[in-house]
Formats: sequence, C-alpha cells, structure tokens
Amino acid sequence: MKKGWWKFWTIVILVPLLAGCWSNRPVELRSMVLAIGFSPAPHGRIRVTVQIPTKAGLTSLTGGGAKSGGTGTLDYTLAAEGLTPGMALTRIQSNMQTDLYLGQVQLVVLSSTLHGSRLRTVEKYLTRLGPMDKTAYAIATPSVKSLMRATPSTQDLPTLDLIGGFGCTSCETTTYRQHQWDIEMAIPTPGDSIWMPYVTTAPTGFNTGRLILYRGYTPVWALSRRDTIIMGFLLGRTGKGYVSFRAGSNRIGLRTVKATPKIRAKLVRGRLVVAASVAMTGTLDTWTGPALTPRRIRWIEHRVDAQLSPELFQVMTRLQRLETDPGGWLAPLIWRSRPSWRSASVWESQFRHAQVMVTVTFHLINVGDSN
Amino acid sequence: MTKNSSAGSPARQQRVEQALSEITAEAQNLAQALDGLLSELRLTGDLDQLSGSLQAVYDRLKPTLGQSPDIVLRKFTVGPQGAPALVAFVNGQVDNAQVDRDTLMLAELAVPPTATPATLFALLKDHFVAVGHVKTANRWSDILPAMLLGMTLLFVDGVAEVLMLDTVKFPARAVSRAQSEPSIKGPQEAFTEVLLTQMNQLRRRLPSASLRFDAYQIGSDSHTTVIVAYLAHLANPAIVSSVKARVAGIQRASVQTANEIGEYLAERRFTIFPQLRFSERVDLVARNLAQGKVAILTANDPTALVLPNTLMDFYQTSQDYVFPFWDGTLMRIIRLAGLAVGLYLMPFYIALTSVNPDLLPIKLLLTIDGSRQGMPFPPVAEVIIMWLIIEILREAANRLPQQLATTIGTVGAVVVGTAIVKAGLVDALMIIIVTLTALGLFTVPALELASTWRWLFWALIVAAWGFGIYGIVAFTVVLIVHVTSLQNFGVPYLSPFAPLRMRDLGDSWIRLPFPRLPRRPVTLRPLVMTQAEPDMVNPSPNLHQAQSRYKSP
Repeated sequence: MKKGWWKFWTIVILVPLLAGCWSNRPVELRSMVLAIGFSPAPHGRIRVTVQIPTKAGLTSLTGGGAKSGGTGTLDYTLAAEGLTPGMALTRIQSNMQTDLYLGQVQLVVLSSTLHGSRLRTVEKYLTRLGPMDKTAYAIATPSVKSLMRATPSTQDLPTLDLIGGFGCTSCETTTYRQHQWDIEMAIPTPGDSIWMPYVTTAPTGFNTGRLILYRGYTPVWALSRRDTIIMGFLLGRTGKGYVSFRAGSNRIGLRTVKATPKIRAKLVRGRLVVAASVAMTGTLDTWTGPALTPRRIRWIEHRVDAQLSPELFQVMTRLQRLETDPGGWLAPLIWRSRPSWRSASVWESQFRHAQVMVTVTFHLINVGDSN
Repeated sequence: MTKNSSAGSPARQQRVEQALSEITAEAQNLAQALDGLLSELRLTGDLDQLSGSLQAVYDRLKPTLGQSPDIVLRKFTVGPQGAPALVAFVNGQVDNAQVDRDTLMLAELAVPPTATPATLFALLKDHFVAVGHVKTANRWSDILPAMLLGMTLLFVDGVAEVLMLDTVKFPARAVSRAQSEPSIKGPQEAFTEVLLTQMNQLRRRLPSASLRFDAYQIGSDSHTTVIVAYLAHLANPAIVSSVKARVAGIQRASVQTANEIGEYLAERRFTIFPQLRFSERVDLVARNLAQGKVAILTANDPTALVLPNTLMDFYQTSQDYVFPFWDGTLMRIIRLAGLAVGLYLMPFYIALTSVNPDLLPIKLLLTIDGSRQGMPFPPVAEVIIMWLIIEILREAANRLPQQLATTIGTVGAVVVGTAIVKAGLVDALMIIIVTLTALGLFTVPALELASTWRWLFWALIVAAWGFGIYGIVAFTVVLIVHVTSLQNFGVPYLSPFAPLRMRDLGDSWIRLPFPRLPRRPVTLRPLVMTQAEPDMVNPSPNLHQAQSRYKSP
C-alpha cells in the first residue's frame, strides 16, 4: 500500500461512521409529532402529551387548496406521565407501532400551572433533546389537554391553524410569537425573563392575543388583551396596534400603530434608572370632532401621548413589582458593567427599586378616512 | 448397438474424406503461397521487397488475396510490343470505369521499341496525369494495405516498383443532417464516413492556408487513417505535438471508430468525466478549430474528436451561436438549471423524506407524508423502479424508428405513469420528481456527458439514502475536488471557473454578443489571442439624420 493511503482510508471510513446520519427511515414510517405539551401530574410527575396527525389529517393537505383527503379526525393525542419528560415520552413510544419523530415539532405547549422545578426540568430536557426542532413555537395555556383537543372551524390541522398566525408577522396586531430557542436563550441570561403567548380555547378554535410573563420559571402575570398591546409597544413588537379612547366629547381611534421603543437601563448616582422613550406612529381611524387641521392633528398627537404615557408607565411599574424583565432591558447593563448582578435575586431586586421614566412621542402619519 | 455402428460407418467415412480433401486444398494453397514468397525471396533475399518479376508478383498475390472474389488480378500487355503487366485492385473499392479506361489506354500506348522496363515504367507514371495520385512503392508492407484501401496497382515485368493509382471510389452516403446534435436553426451539415469528404467539409469552412491535416495510419489490420486537424497559426504547439505523439503511439490491430482513438487520448483513463468532445457537426468542429483546438478525424466514422475540452465546452452547442445572445444565454442557463434539477432533485427528495425530514417545511412534509401513506416501497425502491422504466423506455425509443419512438414516449409517460400510480406502487409525487429529473438530465447537449450525470445521479442517490443531506454535500465536495483536479492536455477542466478566467466567462453559462468576445479562450493559450477587432459602436454618427434629411421624392 502506498504511503498515505491509510490516511485516505481512515477518512473514508470515519467520515460516514461519524456522520451520525444513519437514522434512515421513510417519512411514512414515522409518527410526526406536531405539538408536544407539558403539564403537571400528581406525585411530582410530568404529563407529556403529543399531538400526531392521522392519515386523514395527512391526506387533508395533499390536494392543496381543494382538500382531497379522507374524513375523520385530523389528529390524535397520546399522553403519558413520568418523573421526567424523557420517561413519559418513552412510555408513549412503547404504545406505538411507528417511530415517534420529534424533528418536526411545531409547537411546545406549556401549562401555565407548570412552574418552578418542573418547568426547569422540562426546559432542560428540551434543551438537551437532539432531534427536537428549536424553531418550534412555545406557548402557555391553562389546559394542555383542552388545547390539544381543540378543533378549529377552519377544518385545518389544529396546530397548523394555531401557528399560522405566528408565521405572518405583518398580519398580527402584536408579533407575540416566541420560539423554543427564545425561551432557551432567555433562561440563562441575567436581566432577561421568559414570556410567551397565552392561548386559551374557544368553540371556534383558539383565543390568542395575550401574553404571559414569568419570573424565573414561575408564571406571574397573564396579561389582558389591552395590556398585551401596551406590552407590545414596550417590546417593539406591535405591527397593527389599535388604540381608542375618548378625548373630551370626541372619540379618537388609531390603527396600524407601530412603536419603536428605546429602553435603556443605566446607573445614575448609584441608582438604577430605566428610561423608556417610545416613538409611535399610526393612522387616525376614528375622529368624531371637527374637521382636521394641522393644528388639530398636533393636538390629537399630544392627546395620544398623554393617553398612552400613563398606560405604558403602569405596565412598566407592574413589571417592576413582579420583578420580571421580558424585554431584557437590564441584560446589557449587567453584561457590560454589573457582573455582580448576575444572580437573579440581585438584578430582580435592583429592578424592583429602579426609577422608571416613560416618554411617548406619537406622530400621525395618515388621517385615513376619518374625514 | 450393432445397428448404430453399421449405420454410422459410411457417414463417418464421408466426413473423414471431406476433411481430408479440405486439408489437401489448404495444403495446396499454403504450398502456393509459400512458392510465391519463396520465389521473391530467392530473387531479392527479402520477403518484403518487390522483386520485379511479374510472375513472382502474381504467384504471391494469387494464392493469398487472389482467393477472394473481390480481388481482381488481370495480366495484360502494354503497347504494341506487348510488355507484360499486371493490374490488381479490389473490385468495389475502385472506380471501375476509370480502371477500364486506363487499362485500355495502356494497351494502345505508344511505346518505343527500344524501351526498357524502367523507361516503360517511367512513361506509364507520366501518362497517368488524370488520376488523382500516382505513387510508387517497392515494399509489400506498403503495397498491400494501399491496394486494400482502394488503390489500383500496376506492375510491369522487370521493374522492382509498382505504380499505385488513386482510383478510390467506395460507396458513401450523401452529406446529411446532424442526427445526434440537432439544431433548429443555422447549419445542419454533418460529417460523412469518408475522410476526404470530412476534410473537404472543414476546408470549405476554414479555407485557411494554415489549416493542417496530419495523417496517421493506425491499426495493423485496419490501417485506419486518422487525421489530426488544426490551424497551425493558432493552436498551441505544445497541445498539437502532444496530440500527435499520442495518436502516433497508438498500437492496435484494428480501429473502427473515433472512440477507440479517443480512449487512447484521454489523460485520465478512468475518470467518469468525458475529456473529448465527439461531434458530427462540421460547424462545431470548425468553430473549435478557429478557437485554437485540435480535431481528430477518423476514416469510416462520421464523428470528429475535438480537444482539449473543459466541462463548460460540453454545455456549448451550435445552436447557442445561431440565435441572438439573449437566447443563447437563456438556453445555457436552462441547461444549468436542468443539470441542478436532474442531478439533485431526486437525491434531495430521498434525503428529506428518509433521513432529514426535519429540514422540510412542515406543510410540504405533511403533503409528502400524506401522498406516501400506504406505499409498499421506500422512496429509494420507487426511484429504482421508475428509473428502470425510464431507461427501458429510452432504450426502446432508441431502437425504434422515429415515428414509433414518439409513441413509446407517450405510452411510457402517460400510460405506464398513470397505471403505476393507480396500482399503488409509486406515489404521485415520485412520478413528478422522476419526470423532472429525467427531463433535467435530457437537457445535457453532449451525449458523452449525459451518461456521466446518470452515473453520478445514482451515486448521489446512494449518498442521500445512506447519509441524507450530509451525504449529498460530502459527495458534491468530492466531486468538485475531482473535477478541479482534472486536466485535459494541460487545460484545467473546470476553467474558466477554476482557475478563474474572467475573460472566458463571457462565453460560459452566459454568452455575450460576438463583438464583446474579441479574444479566444485564454485557457487554451492559443498563439493568437485576438479573434476580433475592437467593437466599433455607431461607426456612422450621421446615420441618425437619415430619417429627416433624405426624404423620398
């Protein structure tokens, strides 16, 4: 054998062996998990629920727009309990004929009653789970079971129907989607807190448009729809915000409200100051007052500023009280100049006692058809 | 038993008698042949040397070649004095009318009474001015192949030389359209099997004094003439001399096709990538010669070899140059897309449905999953089934007349495809992908490259089946490394992309207008780089006034 050939053959043999791509199994022999849910179970256990499309569900997409698939339920759920999510999944797998495939999980559903150590266990498991797709959306819900069994009126696969809204950033009032990787990044980052959409079920499908905030692994605030919009302004995630209020005898309605927040945490004479400057734009949708003039437009803009500033301030102060920082506003400060605040108890306490300032500057960019 | 043996004896005896008579005849032939050889050997002391004795010539030719019915040996006399002479030729390879006319004239030739055989020979040689070529030879190793290739031999008694008259006229078909490289516009002329015609066709397109045709005789049995054609003022001398050396070095009993020459010329014998371009199109070969390449013409094969080549050369066709450059560019880009689709669509489908389904968008994956429900075979088995059907249909279409081939295509595509889906053997998506793959691979303009991609397609299928996307990427890297390492007569195979030759990019996957291609391909290193003078835009600035100043009366 020529000199150097052993290197060639070593590479030829090792490259395939080390590739880790031996999981060859046709797609029809895999049970495609579209959604995986985690909820508390008795005796400190965790209940894992998986949602898998049925044959009818799979063929419902084959015909494109014209659904040519079979009839019947589009998906089925399987659930098992275990001390760890892995044990529960193993139990589910043992009841199946085909391979439980987690590579296409689209939705991670976390029960809002799951908190503390159990949520920590779940998240650690998901972080380590190799085949798991980290682009899956994460949501919280009061009842995983109800959400998994909800049937949307669109006759689409429930999970696809739910995540369809997350996929279109320009369609949503507030872009409140969170991927699993967002959660996994926020958990270890000092000065950052977990938040995710809070979804409940309804007879026609799902109720979305709300957020839930966490302090550490504990859910602390399920926001109302109104607060979610305000929160969206603070997070800079509002695409089609809507604001309506009464100014004297007139009603002002604004649509397509967008916010560009600049929220900075800084130390002023040893005290933490969180200054939020939110530049907003929007279209005047409703105006019941007299004809619009430039001067009146400026007046409306001032009224919007005066209306929204306290609301944003209220939300900020509530975040302070709850010691949660969904925007990760403190993270740059801790990273750059306050490494001693890395402990959650320290930065949360600092945030609680911080001075908060909110400034809103609103500009009407369109008067719409209000006249 | 006894009955059998008594019945078998006369038959056996008959067979023995027949065998003995055959052996006797062969022995007589052998004895005659040996006599012929010995008679010349006695006279010259050399078996290969012509003795000058007409009888010895006849004795030598008659028992060997003379046994064949197409060999004509005719003794006659020249002039009034009746000098013995012998004409030998292969009936069917010569112009019989010309031979008859010349033989008749010889009989009436005025020969001085004092003429010696040598002067008679010289007189004859001068007489044959009408014949294309008159050559003399005195060695049997030169004489016999020439006769078998259609020359008429004229021996004169007492002269140790022979006149070889070019009376070649063998059956040849007319110049026809190029079948394997069709073009819907522009020149259609294809080469024929006749080497002289091939040279004439090239000469007509390139009437340049520097167009060289260097001839080589290859094949100890076939004596095939091989021509190395090039433009001497252009072609890189190193490439030309290398080609000539390789052609001259071919030692082979018989050469019947250009491919037999080509496989000797290939620098890397076992690479799957073709290094020689075969073409039956005269215009394509002429274009390549004008670029500084070398062409090899082979007798009895209407296919010319062009070299050296890059991978890009196999994607350039005559059609690209007869349409406007936008069309030419579009056609090439479509070919590139066809290559990508043909080579990678199916492997990606296999990888994404079997190994890496996590990389597919969910809706597409569910659609594929839905279409594959209940399928009895894995995707790779479906590929094998479908590709087998396609290859069978392709082979069937090749063997049938054109009209029936169209029917076969329709039957294959519609009937078999529909039936196989309805039978539930293959899913509908696979039919779409296989069809696109086949169409993609059919866009390869050069036949010699088509089989390359078909082989590599299967290698990619195996890589995708075993290792998914990783396998495809790894195999592609190996492929690129291999192609980059290839050289063809010193020309990098992947140029103008690797190494990057910016000037040559104008005639690669895109084709710039001809005025924007003033230079020949750098990668060929021709002796003269410039092929066009600088483009003169708007040479007549006053033309814009033509519409206003000169009005019709």
